[in-house]
Amino acid sequence: MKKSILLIVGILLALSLVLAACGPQVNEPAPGEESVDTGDTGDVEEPAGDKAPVVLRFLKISDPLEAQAFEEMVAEFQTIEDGKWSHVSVEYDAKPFAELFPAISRAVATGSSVDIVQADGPDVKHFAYNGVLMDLTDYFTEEEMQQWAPQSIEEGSMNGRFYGPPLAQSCQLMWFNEDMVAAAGIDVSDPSGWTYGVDGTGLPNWQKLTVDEDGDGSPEVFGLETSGPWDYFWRIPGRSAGTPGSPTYEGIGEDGISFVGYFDTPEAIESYEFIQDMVYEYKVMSAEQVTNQMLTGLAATSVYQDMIMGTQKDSFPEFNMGAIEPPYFVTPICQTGSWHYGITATTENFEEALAFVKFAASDAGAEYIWQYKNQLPANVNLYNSIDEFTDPENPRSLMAEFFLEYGAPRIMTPAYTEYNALFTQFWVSLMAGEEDVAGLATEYAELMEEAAQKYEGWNE
Amino acid sequence: MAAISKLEIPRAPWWKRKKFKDAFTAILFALPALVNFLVFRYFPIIWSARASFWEYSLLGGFRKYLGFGNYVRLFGDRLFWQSMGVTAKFFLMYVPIVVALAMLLALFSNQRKPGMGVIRAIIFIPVVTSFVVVSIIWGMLLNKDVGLVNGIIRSFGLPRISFLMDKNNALPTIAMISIWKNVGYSVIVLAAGLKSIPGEMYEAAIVDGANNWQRFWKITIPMISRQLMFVTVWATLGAFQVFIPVYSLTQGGPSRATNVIVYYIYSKAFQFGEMGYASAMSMVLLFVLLIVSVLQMRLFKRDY
Repeated sequence: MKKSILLIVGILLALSLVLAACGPQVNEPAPGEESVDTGDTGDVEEPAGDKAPVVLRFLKISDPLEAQAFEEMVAEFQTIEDGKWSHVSVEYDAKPFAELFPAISRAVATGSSVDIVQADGPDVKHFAYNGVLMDLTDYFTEEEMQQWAPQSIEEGSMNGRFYGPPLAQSCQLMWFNEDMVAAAGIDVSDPSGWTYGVDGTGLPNWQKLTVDEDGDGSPEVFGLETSGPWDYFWRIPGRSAGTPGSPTYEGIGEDGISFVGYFDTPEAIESYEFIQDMVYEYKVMSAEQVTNQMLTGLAATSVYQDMIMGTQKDSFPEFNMGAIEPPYFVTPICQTGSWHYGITATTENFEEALAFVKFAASDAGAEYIWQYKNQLPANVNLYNSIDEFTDPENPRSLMAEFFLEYGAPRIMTPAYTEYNALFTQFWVSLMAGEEDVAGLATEYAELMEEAAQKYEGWNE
Repeated sequence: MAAISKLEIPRAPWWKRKKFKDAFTAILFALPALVNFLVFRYFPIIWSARASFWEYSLLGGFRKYLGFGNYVRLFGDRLFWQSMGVTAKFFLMYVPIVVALAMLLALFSNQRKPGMGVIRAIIFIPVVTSFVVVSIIWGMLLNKDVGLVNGIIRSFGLPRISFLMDKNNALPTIAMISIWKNVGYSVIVLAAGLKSIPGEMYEAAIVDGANNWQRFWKITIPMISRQLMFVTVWATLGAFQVFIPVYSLTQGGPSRATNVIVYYIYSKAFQFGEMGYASAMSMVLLFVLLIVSVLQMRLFKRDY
């Protein structure tokens, strides 16, 4: 009998632990209604007036630098407008980069009470299409919209409706090891990008920079770093092979679901073949990605966004790094897009979420992100006020100029997630030495188009 | 003499009878495991079966009832069959080697010699490490240009090998990593079985003139057939469900050479937003694994 009682108690304890892990049910009012206390108040200060504390749940990327930025940003947010929002605090659910998109999907599927999500720029249309994000068009004035670069507004919108103000932006430069470049006798006083192609200016330079002392066909130092197999880096050469407005440059049809005739144009195929030749024929690039290949001295140049400056400063302070515009075939281009704030359609704290998002995306909020992350801001006013952007000797100044002149959003489609997954497969096969590059490009253009068909009519 | 009246012993209520109490206690002991299976295994299977009949995605929810549409589609999906083929190849590379290697290591570590406890621990360490972490580290070690393994190969004057970027080498490399990671578990199971074999059987066999091979084949193998069956079925299930090294290292490439079925299901569910279709593939995989497991158990001639 005693054993049975002990066993029952143990089972009840286990069951209660299981049920606790499943999370609480929260009854929440519809969006836009007066907010109510949704649970843990955390570090909420005494509310202004008679407003109940509100905790905004923010599903975002795991980034310690951003965490510091948001801590200070929220502290200032609570003081603005005479403390109108002092009853608002923010609780973060941070996920690694690769897990954030699935986490947002799971949160939607399970009806979790999330107020704000951090969405990658190209994914905003995907979320908007699926009704995950609130349409914020009517809540931002023209003046407020002018804070941000046109690329940011385009990335955060779908069919002319605005769904997500930007947190930051991104663009690419070609960074180089100053010592190696000087030793190779290469003149980089002109910041113009090198050109790809057999007859381009880049190949001879990369060949000079490549070092294979033991002659085994595997250089100790490669001319150009091999970045991750993602659209963000490697669609650039393909798009740059076309002129603005051409199918090659645009990369996708106006319907946002056509890839055949855009991904596999003759110019694009030629660009893919050349990049493959850089690995197997000219051996100035490795087939496989190596983390921090340039900063560790295993490559001489790297096409990357400005976050590399933070990595260099923190982890490789002795490394002498310079930058010029990124390489291209015909048209200079950098692919833009970074994080955006999105207010979920299921939020029960819309007023507070909107106020916070507006502040976070304003110049004042963006300064905190800049201060800690040192990432290209989306707020154009900051290009004129931050020293690094006004100093012509600083690479950030070059990046801001290049971004404003040549920055193009990644392909605009709600099928971006599907496309990016297929692009990665395509790129890995290309870099593995797939012989029939034209066939590979056509095959994947068809697969991309097939995957995008479910979004037909999204922009009509 | 007065007749002795039959005593009427009052019967205890049914919930106080010994038979019920014993059954109740047994159920209570089994309840935590049953709840675990119900909540974390059977309920998701039922939910997945339901989703397999719908056009369902995490973001879009249950959009449209398709009936058997997803199943009809998958039978015409060449990539589904391609991924099943890759998985079958992986199974043929992985299972025989894991079982044979585990047997050898179990026999070796079962010897009564100093240090065998340390040997067993070393064999088991990979089992308790994070598969994601070891996959990434193996990826660095196997890098064609800067990896340690190719550095060693080069020191012997041999050409470098592209382990993960060559479509002919990628799947065997994934199998090698998985074998290294998982063999320790099978070693422990087989070693436990070896320890349970009575020594007298070997002594009697020696007296009868049996040689090493005869003792191994006629005594050791039959006596640990249950453990061998378990290890084989476990390795088979693991082979058909391989995912982590593919996700971490190759993403199904190059040229879909490592596009195993679970990775294909994952990509359909989470990258292509086709959770309903992915659920249908999962159901088919479940059915295949059930058949394979039953066949293997029958091969070992045990009724489980």
